[in-house]
Amino acid sequence: MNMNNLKVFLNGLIKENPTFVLLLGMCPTLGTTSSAINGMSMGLATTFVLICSNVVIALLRNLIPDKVHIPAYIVVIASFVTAVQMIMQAYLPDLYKTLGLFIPLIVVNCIILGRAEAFAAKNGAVPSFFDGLGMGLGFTLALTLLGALRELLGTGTFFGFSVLPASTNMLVFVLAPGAFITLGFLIAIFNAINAKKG
Amino acid sequence: MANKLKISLSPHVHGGDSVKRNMLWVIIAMLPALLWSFYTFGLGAVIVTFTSVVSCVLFEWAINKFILRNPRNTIADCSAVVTGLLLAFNLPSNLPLYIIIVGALFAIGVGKMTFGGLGNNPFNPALVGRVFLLISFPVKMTSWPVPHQMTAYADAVTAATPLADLGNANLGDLFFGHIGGSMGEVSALLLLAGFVILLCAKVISWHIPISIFASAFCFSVIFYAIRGGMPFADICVLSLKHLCAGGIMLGAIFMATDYVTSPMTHKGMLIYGVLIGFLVICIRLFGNYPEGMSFAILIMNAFVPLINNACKPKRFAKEVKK
Amino acid sequence: MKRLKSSFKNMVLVLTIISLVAAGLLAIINRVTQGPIDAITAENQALGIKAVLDLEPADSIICTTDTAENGTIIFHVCRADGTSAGTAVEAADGQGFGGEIKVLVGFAENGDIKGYQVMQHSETPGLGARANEWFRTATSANTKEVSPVSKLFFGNPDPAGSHNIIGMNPGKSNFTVSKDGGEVDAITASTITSRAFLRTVQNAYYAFMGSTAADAVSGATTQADEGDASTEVVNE
Repeated sequence: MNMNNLKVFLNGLIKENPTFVLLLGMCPTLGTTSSAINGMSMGLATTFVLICSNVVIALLRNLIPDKVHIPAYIVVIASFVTAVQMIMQAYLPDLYKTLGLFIPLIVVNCIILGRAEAFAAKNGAVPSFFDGLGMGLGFTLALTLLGALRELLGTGTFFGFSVLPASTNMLVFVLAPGAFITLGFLIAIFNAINAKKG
Repeated sequence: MANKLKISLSPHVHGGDSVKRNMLWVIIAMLPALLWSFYTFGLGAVIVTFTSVVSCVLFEWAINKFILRNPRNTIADCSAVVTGLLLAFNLPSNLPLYIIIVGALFAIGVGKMTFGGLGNNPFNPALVGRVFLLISFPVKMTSWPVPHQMTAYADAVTAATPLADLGNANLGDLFFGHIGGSMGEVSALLLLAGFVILLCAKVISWHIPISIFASAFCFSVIFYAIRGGMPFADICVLSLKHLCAGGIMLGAIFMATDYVTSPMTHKGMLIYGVLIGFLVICIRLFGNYPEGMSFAILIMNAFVPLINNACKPKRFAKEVKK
Repeated sequence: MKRLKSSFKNMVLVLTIISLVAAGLLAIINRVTQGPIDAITAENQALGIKAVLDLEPADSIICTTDTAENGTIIFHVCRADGTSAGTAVEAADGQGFGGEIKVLVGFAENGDIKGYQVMQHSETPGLGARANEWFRTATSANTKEVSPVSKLFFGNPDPAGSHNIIGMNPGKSNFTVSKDGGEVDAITASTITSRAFLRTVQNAYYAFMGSTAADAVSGATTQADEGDASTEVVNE
């Protein structure tokens, strides 16, 4: 049982990484990763919502009739997102300042609805928790990596610390096209590594 | 000697046409404009050209060998040299070397090799490199040195493109190339000479460049006429200046005609050319950037598969619909 | 346990219950967090006003608020002892590159800008988003000698520019970007943001002048420094 949960967790983190393998949640991935901190915070906020919604949906899975499961899931997810937004605004105002715009985006993040559909609706609360944790951390990892790369190439800083001189900054990496290019190459590298492993 | 007998499918007659031959002709056609840029911008132009060509060839070789692991030596077909030259033609002649090298890496690495090398790239590599640099280093890419500073490089005095104030530019200066601007685009006359060379060598057909010129001229006249407040003769002169200034000549003759990224049929080429002309005038007159040739060509590059699909020639011996 | 059947009654019941529970929980959270959120918003505003008027964060101030018809908010700020500490104006412009820009500007009595703070924006990070720092700093002519090799490879450092609006008076200077013939250099590669920003500050100034129209005339006497805006740089 424990081994199983570990497997579920690692599955989300690497083998079925939501960003690099499943290609889910591209909108926040491209929109919020202009710096490493932004990417990581977005990832962690998503992780939190994902775990909560996964657990609640796993608990409710047998009470929700099939034909209304999507509206029911959306109500659950939207409630958690709103709660996160209000709590963050009240108790973590600085983080809210940088992320405020993106929090509502979590609702439309297809990872959350996707995991609710693909995993939580078929499994118990405990595995669903680990699935949410694994997927969420996988998402966080990907967003942090993407954000760190874009920040380094675009503004010459790494988590806010100045690393490269201003003359080497390439603005395009701060903008949306840079997000697409960086993501494309990261996916290529991820695929190459996965292919080598077999 | 052992393989003298070749067994292959028809056709058996070879026209002598090859990638290498075409690329060499393109290089020859670019020489007049290149020499003019050496004369106008002096040492800077030489340094930019050299850096761009050498780094393009090096990146092509390295990526081919170490990442694609392709045993064929693709630098022999000279396409990387052409990309390097075209990229240099699109850059100001005082650009820091670091930026040129990044541009070459992006042009070859992302614009071409990512898609599998020459023949598979949907976008013109040199333009991909240029647009990447334009967005990444907007200040350095839009300050062009004033002509005839033969030895100044980083400290060269710069000015805006004549496009920013086209009304006061002299048409003759624009045509003969006594203006600032990107290295290879200044002399319309010598670029047209290159066009004639390419036509004579049958490397390109007239369709794409001429349709771009005609459409850019017409749309410029139309837009200025709608805006009003100018006599018709002035509008025509201004529209001619549009053709001679900036990148329209260079783009229409050398970059929009790239085999890989332009339509295959003559009808397709005309559609492609007219739309490029329309887009470039739109971007110049209504857009945020003063110059839009590279964007126009890249946008239309994306439409080439659609155009090819729409302009398929009739299949031989197919029943004619009544 | 078997899944509930999708009968009409079940569906309506389940959806209603889930919605009610969710709404109830959110209502509770909203109630709990409303207090802290309001406190933070008010504190942010007070801190912003103090910052743009060069006051210490610990100072206690009393604001009286005016609202102009276009939504511009004018804060007349007094110190605790009743002396005037200046006026802060919050103005907005919808024509930024990414949407609305809201700026809080502090004015001295003669209309000189004492400070500003971008309160809300959706400009591009790394480009337009630099407005909050850009317009309070001036890049001076670079005196540090750069080696020729570094120049060849990385180019010259940024040229000198004048984009410090602190101390300027929108009524007396040409308050537009230098590309449009004005005295302020736009943020590199973000002319649209810069235009919107300057327009916002100008709107704030007009609102300020409108609110102090009676004593605006007396402010025209002292205008000492022209030094800020004298260097013209073409950076196209």
